[in-house]
Amino acid sequence: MNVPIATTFIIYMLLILAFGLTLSRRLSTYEDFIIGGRRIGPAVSSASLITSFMSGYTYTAAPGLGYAEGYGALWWAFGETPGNALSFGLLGRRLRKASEMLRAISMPEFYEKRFDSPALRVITVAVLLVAISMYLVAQWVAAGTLLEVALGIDYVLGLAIGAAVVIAYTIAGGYLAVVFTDAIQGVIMFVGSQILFWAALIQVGGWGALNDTIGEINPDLVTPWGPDLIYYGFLAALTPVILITLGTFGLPHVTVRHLSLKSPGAARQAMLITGIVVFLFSFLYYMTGPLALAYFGEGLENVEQAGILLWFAVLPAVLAGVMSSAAIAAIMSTADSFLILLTTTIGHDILYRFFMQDSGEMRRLRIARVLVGVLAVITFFVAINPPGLVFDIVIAAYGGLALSFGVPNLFAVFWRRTTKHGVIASMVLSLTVYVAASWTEFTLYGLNGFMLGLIVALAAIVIVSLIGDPPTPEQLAVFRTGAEYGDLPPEVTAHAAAAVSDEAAAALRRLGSGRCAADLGRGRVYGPGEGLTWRPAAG
Amino acid sequence: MNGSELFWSSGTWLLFLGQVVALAVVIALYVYQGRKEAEARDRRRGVPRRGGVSDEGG
Repeated sequence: MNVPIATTFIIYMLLILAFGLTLSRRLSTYEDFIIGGRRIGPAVSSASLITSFMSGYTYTAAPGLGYAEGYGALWWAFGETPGNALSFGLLGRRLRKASEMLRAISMPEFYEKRFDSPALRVITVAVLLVAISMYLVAQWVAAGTLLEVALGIDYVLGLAIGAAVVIAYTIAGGYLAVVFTDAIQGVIMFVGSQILFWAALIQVGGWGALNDTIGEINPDLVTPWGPDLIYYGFLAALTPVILITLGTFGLPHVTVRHLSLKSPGAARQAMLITGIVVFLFSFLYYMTGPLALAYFGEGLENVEQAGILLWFAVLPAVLAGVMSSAAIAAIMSTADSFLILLTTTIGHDILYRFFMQDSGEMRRLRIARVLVGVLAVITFFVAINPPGLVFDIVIAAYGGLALSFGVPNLFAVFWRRTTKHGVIASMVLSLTVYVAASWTEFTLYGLNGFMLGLIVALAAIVIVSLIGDPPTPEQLAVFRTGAEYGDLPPEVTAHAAAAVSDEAAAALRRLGSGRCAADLGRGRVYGPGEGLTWRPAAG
Repeated sequence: MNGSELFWSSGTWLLFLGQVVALAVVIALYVYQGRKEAEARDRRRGVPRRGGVSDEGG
């Protein structure tokens, strides 16, 4: 075991654990546990979104792709800046506002209330459970593998350490702990990647020497078209850009950051912060691949170890320990988000919605915590003997989530004519086409399973929505109000909070506004007029 | 042709330029939305409130 690296790493783990446990003191309500009480500021939301999005992929698959494909791999990074930033600025602002009006604290709940369709909630829950479970297993596997390589310990022990820390602070601190630990881990990831990139660039002799060296190995690697011209042509180059960009509009661990923003207006600030940080970040970790190629030359047995081997080669031991911490941070910050999402999906969207509607807030909170533990243990045991094709399943899950949620999310807040039947058709048909085409490796005019699924998703949501009955006046009112600029009035947000929080409801009663809360509960708040039209009941 | 020349002649640099353009779009949207938010605030301030909250000019 490398003592300096292990020491740095253990200190890091203990600090994250202590910080997460400290945040549990700020946790008082069910809404706090699920979405941080909708009071997360733009900077923390931005950092949390970026780290959750990046995952273990950042330090394994991305450098591996850069090592194998040279600059062509940057097509995969290209969509990250616009995707992550615009997911806040375009989708996040409207989604945050609409979800608060509808008193929805999860995406399945949003869909049920936005389109008045319990069936839609069931469908979204089913998709989420399958996709997120596989994602979570993959994160555990990545954590175990990384610690095995970095610390020279047994895979299962590495897996247990990584999982134990994440589970402990997630159970104790819920979503609050998740976003704030994510923010810290994001800083470490950002600094670590900058250090690695510039140190490696200096080691290989600078930008010109880097290009000359990889150009000698294979000239195609210096072009944007990749080896054997795999990215040559409009469609080949654009497919990864669309996949990554659309994915950020659909990934549930990204959209939950929209719901938890402290206000719709905060989405604009989060967009700017995210755009700048991802701009400075996203190309770098793909570029560690070409740097590793220039440094080591061809012939690495496992290309996905290119980034890890590079930081052990060019950085002193302590900094290599920091990089290892940054890499495990990327994994942990994604794993904790999935744990919370799984808990929300099962605890809130299934048990509470369909079986335990009369249970109190504290009981729900206790059940949610137990569920985190149970789910973590189940996925942990699956990760001990992971399915052979976990990576393929994760890639499939990413595309599936991008299609099943990315298109409907955008239409739900940008096209007023969208109906529940259109959303259901889009989700079901696009997923069917995507899975079938990917499974059989079917392509049509160069379009792969994802692109075919995207075309079907867009066509289905437009055609089926236009064929069916138009949205109700109430649905149109929510749509219009969500689309407007400006935050919701405090009276409305207070009542929205009261609908999902016993504590907020009690506070409202103390203020003598119980009648308004009751009216809100009956869903007669937003009238069909233009603009924001909330009024308490007359009399 | 060496790697450095190939980097420029093949258009690889456009990928990097594209990122700059993407960031410029984000900044432009930030400014645009800021103006819209300010207009919405002004509109609300100019509307008399009665019996709760109204933003539709009456």
